[in-house]
Amino acid sequence: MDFRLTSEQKILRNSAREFLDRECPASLVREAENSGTGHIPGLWEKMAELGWLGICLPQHYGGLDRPFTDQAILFEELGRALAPGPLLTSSVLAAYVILYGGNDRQKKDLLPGMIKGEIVLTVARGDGLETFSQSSGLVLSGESSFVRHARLADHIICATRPAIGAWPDTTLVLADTGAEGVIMTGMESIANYPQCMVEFHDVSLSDDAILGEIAEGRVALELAVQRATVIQCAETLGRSHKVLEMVVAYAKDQMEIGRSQSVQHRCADLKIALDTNRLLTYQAAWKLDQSLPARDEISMAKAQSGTLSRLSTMTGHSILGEIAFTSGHDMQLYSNRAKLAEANLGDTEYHLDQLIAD
Amino acid sequence: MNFDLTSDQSTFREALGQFLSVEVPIERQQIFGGRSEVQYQFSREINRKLAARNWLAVGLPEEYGGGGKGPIEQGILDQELGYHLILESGACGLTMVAPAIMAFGNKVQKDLYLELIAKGEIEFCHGLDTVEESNGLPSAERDGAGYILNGCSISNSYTDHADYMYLLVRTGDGFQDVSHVIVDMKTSGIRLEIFPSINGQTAAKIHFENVSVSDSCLIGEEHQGLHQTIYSPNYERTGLRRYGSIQRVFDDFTDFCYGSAPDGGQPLAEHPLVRHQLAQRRLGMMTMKLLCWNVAWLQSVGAVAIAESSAALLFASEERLRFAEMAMEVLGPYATLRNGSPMVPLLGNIEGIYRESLNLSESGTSDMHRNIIAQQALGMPLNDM
Repeated sequence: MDFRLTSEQKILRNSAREFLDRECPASLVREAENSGTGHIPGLWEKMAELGWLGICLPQHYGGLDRPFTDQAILFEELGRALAPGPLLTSSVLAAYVILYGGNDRQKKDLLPGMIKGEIVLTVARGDGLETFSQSSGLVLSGESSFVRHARLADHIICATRPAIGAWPDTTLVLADTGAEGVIMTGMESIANYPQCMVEFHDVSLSDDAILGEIAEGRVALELAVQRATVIQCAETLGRSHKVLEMVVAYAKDQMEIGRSQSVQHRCADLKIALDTNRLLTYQAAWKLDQSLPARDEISMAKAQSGTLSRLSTMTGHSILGEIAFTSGHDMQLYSNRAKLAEANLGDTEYHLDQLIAD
Repeated sequence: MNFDLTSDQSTFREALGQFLSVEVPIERQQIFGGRSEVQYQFSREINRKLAARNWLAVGLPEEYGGGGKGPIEQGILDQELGYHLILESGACGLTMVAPAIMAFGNKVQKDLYLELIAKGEIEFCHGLDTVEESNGLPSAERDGAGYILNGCSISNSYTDHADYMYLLVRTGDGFQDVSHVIVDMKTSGIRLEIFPSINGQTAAKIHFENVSVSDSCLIGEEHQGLHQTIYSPNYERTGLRRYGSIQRVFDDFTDFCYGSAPDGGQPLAEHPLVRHQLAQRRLGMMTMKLLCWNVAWLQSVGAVAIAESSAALLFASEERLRFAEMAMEVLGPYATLRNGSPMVPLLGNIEGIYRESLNLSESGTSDMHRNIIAQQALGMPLNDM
């Protein structure tokens, strides 16, 4: 039993924090929010240069091949800085789908470019996508909503169900965002988060576009979603930690507030929720690193992550007061993104349901 | 990071689990709300059997009769004893007095107490300050080579069984001038005023009237009591014993919900709301477990876990109450039945854990723990409480 970071992990955390303090101030977060794309290319390139987009991917694709726990540590820092861009979408969820589901050629075609920041990937899920085969290749049709960073993405990994009478299970296919028959409609969201409803009108795909094999995509998708869920928890952890720091700094600065027992007790409750989530999140990450079954641990972490998000929002806005309601204050940047994180990859209720599914 | 036990630790845990499953029959496993003399004597017997294997004080050095292991092994023992619903007899000595003597006691005190604690031969109670007294603590005035104690102290468990009492006394006029002492309960001038608790335990007010003790009773240095309390690793309790016992009742309750209902109807867990509440509490149990193990782990690396220990104790107290309230709600009128009644579910442990969970002040009140977390972990100023 050892709940410490290794010295390498501490270096990763400290250098990431240093970099993001310098390169990703709140002004840049606002710039991204108002850019229409939710993306800052200059920052993206620098993060790619640091190897962050491939931190856990194999070296022969250009990744750093570090343990999964390190990715959680990195995303704590990215969450703390509210770093913009398709980090979780492209470099985590989509990257793991390719890693677990793709064949060698697909991995070689996509992962090195993604890691360099040149290729952006996203994932379309839901029950609305269908594929069926034609003389050569497949036809993709249907629609998927909440497709993150779709406009920025080069390719969309689509989790499709079979059309009637076709194969028995999920097939993963890769559609180019520029292909004929792909129509995107922006879904205006909190914090101007860039996500789209994407329609596929009988999009023709070659056999090369099938990730892995027909009807064998479910496992790869599940593994990728599991990892992305833990990373989403780590991101929330960093974000909530920063809120606690903001609130405590304010309370210490305004002594009549800092000496109030009720203020201190709210801060203490947030601290407990944070420590709890850190233990739950890293327990899940550690289990994945050890290749141990981690489904329940992941669901526990994500269920509590939603509670943590709500508590940090409530604590921040109530203690910081009226000023936190103004758009010039950073608190609203945190509370708006808290809602995106909470809803992403299953909320508290969803994951509590998972715990009793068996 | 590593969330697992070493293979030696796992082996110890398995051996312990096996031993307890043989030695503790199911009819002995009902303690919540029903602590009795019979249960107390049974737990002492278990302690002696554990001691014979060098398991009872597994975290103490071998030269003092311990197992020569560390806080993780002690945590495993606590969790398993809790899970088998053994009363905490001996716990004050093992988890509070022995670490204090190890850290601050002299050679004579180590020789005198540690082995007896390790063998399960003596019982300690812990003297707390009384809120209503003007200075809160008994006074200890110098008298030649010893002290004269006057005043009173509160103890909330095992007072009537205790051979010794471990307590803070006031040794000077300043706020910080307090010291830790061990007092033999048979010393003349000590009088107990018993207050039965609602879980079958007894709390007591201990009155000291010109109680004469030698200065060999002093643990550590005079006037260093507060400092010793705050800055000693291994002093704060992990809460793993309590966690184990709550987890056990939760597991039993979960099984019960998946079996047929008390009125012979559909299993309670068929109801989506019940399943949902079970999931919430399952998350609560995992949280409690991790927070307690965090304290044990910090102790194992020699860190002082003040705020972490408060977080674990506070969360566990509140989670126990949430679970008890939930179980009472799910079982309806059956939840109010005590062991012995017809149709009583789970040996009456739900009714019992409900009463037990009303003790929200174990090792300090919830407010006190929140103050500690705010001030120790977050560096906030003393507040206006």
